[in-house]
Amino acid sequence: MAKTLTTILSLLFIWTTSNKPIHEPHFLESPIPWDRIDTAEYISSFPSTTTESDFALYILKDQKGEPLFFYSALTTPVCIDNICKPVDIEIYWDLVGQYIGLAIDPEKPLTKYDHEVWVEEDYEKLHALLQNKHSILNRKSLDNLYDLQANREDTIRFNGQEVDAITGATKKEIKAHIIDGALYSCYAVWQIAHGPVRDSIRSFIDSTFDQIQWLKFLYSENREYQYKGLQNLSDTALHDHAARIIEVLPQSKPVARTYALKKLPIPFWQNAAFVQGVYSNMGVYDVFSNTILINKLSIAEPIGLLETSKHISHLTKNQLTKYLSFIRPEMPHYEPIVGNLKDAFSTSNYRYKYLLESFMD
Amino acid sequence: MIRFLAFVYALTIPWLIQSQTSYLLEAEAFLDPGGWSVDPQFVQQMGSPYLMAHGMGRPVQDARTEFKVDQHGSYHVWVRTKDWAPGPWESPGRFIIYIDSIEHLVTPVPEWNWVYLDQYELAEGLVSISLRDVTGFNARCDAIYLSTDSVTPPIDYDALQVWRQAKHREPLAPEVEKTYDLVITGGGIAGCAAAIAAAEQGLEVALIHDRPVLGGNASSEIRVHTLGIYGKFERILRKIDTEHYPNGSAEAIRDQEKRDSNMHQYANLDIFLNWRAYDAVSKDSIIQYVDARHTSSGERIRFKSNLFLDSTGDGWIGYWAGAEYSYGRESVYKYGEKWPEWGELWSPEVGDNLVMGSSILWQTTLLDSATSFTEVPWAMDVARDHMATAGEWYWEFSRSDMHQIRDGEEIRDHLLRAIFGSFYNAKQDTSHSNYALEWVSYLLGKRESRRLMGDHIFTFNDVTELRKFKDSVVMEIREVDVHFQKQLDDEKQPDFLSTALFYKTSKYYIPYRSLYSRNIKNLFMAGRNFSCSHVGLGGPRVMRTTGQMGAAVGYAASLCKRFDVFPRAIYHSYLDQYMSLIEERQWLRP
Repeated sequence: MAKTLTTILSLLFIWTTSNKPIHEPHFLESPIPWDRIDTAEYISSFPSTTTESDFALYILKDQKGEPLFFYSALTTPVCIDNICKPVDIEIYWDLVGQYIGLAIDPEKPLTKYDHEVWVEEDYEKLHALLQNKHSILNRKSLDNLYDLQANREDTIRFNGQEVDAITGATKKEIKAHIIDGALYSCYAVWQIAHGPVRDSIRSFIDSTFDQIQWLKFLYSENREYQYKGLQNLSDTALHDHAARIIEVLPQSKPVARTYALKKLPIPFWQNAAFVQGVYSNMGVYDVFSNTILINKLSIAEPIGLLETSKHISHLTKNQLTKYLSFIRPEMPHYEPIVGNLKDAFSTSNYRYKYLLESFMD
Repeated sequence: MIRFLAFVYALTIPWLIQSQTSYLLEAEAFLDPGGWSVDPQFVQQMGSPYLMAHGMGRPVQDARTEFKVDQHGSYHVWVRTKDWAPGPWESPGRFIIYIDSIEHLVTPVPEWNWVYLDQYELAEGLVSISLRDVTGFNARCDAIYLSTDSVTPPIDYDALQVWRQAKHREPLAPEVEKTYDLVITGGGIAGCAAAIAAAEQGLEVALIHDRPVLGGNASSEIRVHTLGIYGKFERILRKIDTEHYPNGSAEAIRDQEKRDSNMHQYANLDIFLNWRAYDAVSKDSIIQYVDARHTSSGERIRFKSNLFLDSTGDGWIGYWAGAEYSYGRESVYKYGEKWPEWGELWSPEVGDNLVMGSSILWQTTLLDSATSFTEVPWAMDVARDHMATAGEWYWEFSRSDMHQIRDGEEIRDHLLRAIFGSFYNAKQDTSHSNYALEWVSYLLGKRESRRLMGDHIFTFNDVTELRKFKDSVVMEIREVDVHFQKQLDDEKQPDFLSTALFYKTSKYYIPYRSLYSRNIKNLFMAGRNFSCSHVGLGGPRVMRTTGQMGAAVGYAASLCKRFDVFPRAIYHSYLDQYMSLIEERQWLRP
């Protein structure tokens, strides 16, 4: 029995490790070195919407079993007018499903339709293309792109630029995204990298990662991971790590920052240290986040009003108008607040200082 | 001759009312606006249509009027104007006013306000007033007030309205009343389609529109091409839609001519161009009338009907009448409109006031020789280092602290600064020496504002589940695309650019129940203010789809009249007749 078990485990070990990537990536947008990868565990297969193939998805881990990346080695025919050619490429995603890199088997370089082998510049362009999750390849059909490549006769000129008559996107814009002579490869690989695989990755991490992992995300330097951590940590965990949230917010993308500020429950806003920490960074936040903070002033500790007064010149007209509506002589910090407002009025070129003037009148 | 006409004008029109010691001259009623444009977009926020010098950097021709002074005296003079780009630079909104031969430079102040000029001796008789644009960059003048009294006119919106009405000696209600079978407010594609469908069915129809041309966002003034399919209304929609030229193209002018020509073919359709509705009153949840005012002359009409259509886009008729409406992004939990791929950008966990933004389209031309473009320091804090020689749909502005209606003027002005500043940046590159601004709209092309609530609220789920309804009257196959500001995903991007998220779909349907109000009994709605969620609006907001809504409403209105019922009864009691009518009408020859 023990021998059988050992055999199974050995086979399993061989199976998992044998799928470890062997080609060093051309590009890998990660501070984690590629050679830290120790094992590759099969997760599931995912379909391609463009090539009718299924691909195996792996999670790559280090020696300690820490998840590092997701990975898939794609071998797929890309066909046009019933003429097919293989495309071999290895794709890396980070732990939240964002494309981060690619590798090519040196024995199987990508080729264009005229059989010309891709040069380094082409790979760089593909890597940039794959990093753009809002690429034009997402919203245009292959037929439309093909027409553009074929120098369609009905191309019209507009504002001095050639224009795609379908969406108004300029030919220049499309050319910038696509490698000459490799439209279908670009299109197919982009669709794979941004297609159902992202659902597979999302399902996997949502079902297997726990609060410990989400906490690691929150403490990561990767702001996408921080965002994912904020989304998945319980209110209790968030409360216990309020100091980290204060640190993370200035680094966050606006969409993540606004998410967090909207989501944090009332006790956060009644915590003077937290309020001070968050509002003290208004000068580096985006306009959307500052709007939330101004609105939260109605429930936040008064120290928030004082901190905001130090960043008056970052406020929009509506934000300032709302902020000023909160200021009352009987409130805590009134004198220093007015002092800061006077400073802002007298020393800055703030566009809305006329509102300050009428307030102080 | 001009003097004589001016004299008659001054004596007869109510809009230029004089008391013994004061004269209020509305700029939009000037005898000759010259190159200044009448802008009525923000009447509900600042109180009146106004004249604007939209010269794209080249001063426009003088606006001019005359009025008769009855009594010699020393008059204080105020001008109501606004510095639309306040900051540490010379205001782009400067202009010169001439009172007869007396010249005075008007330096506007932030926000709409009365700027005091001086005290002038005016003799009895005709006095000429001219406005001379200085910068070509959107100086604006609402009104000029001359008084022997030194009291500054009111600033506050409500007080100003009352004061204005008193100065003009306006009775409370319009003195002219007109009655129709259907009153449509808003002459965009939805309103036009409704007007055609209802007129074809024999209804007496009024179509009230606050611009000189029909078509709304598809008009030659805004120039967005019409997207979507025709559904069961191809015959009607082909009369008013556009070709698929790039957004902003001058080809919109050709389609405008087609639309105007087709819309004037119906003897029982009265089109009120340059009339803007300003009130709607309901009693027992039934709208009694809509009041509208001419955007230049100030004349007023009360429109009465048993049936009203709100195709204003901003849901004004419903808003005034007390219809339930929504604004902003609902929480993802409210209707379950989750799309995990895009998370918060698609539908947020906590609802907010962020909506899809408004656009200003613009166009440049290539000249044979180099041309300069003046410095625009007041635009650079918006444009920053962005350079562009053309705009497209993604020149779009929305912010969570701004309301697309309440802050409409600031949104428009922000986009103008983005355009002028980005074009100025492009002009610093010698490769753009021959580019010149050819056309910049000054009208906001809005995507989303108030959404009036019907018996059915159309949501993303109706798309994902491809739900069919027994009252499916609108259909669409175009992607659902919801926009967000690029800055949300990348703070380095300019704040006036957006990105679209596309959800590809098979054919989906919109039920008739989304096209009438759930609490105002005689109110239909069509266009972007139909009954839907924020994400639900993402697909059907394009103009062939909204045109389908309008046509469907036009037919429903005809049955309401035939059976003497309100819109809801068509669904509950006359649905077979309604669906048959739509089916039959679609096969008529054009």
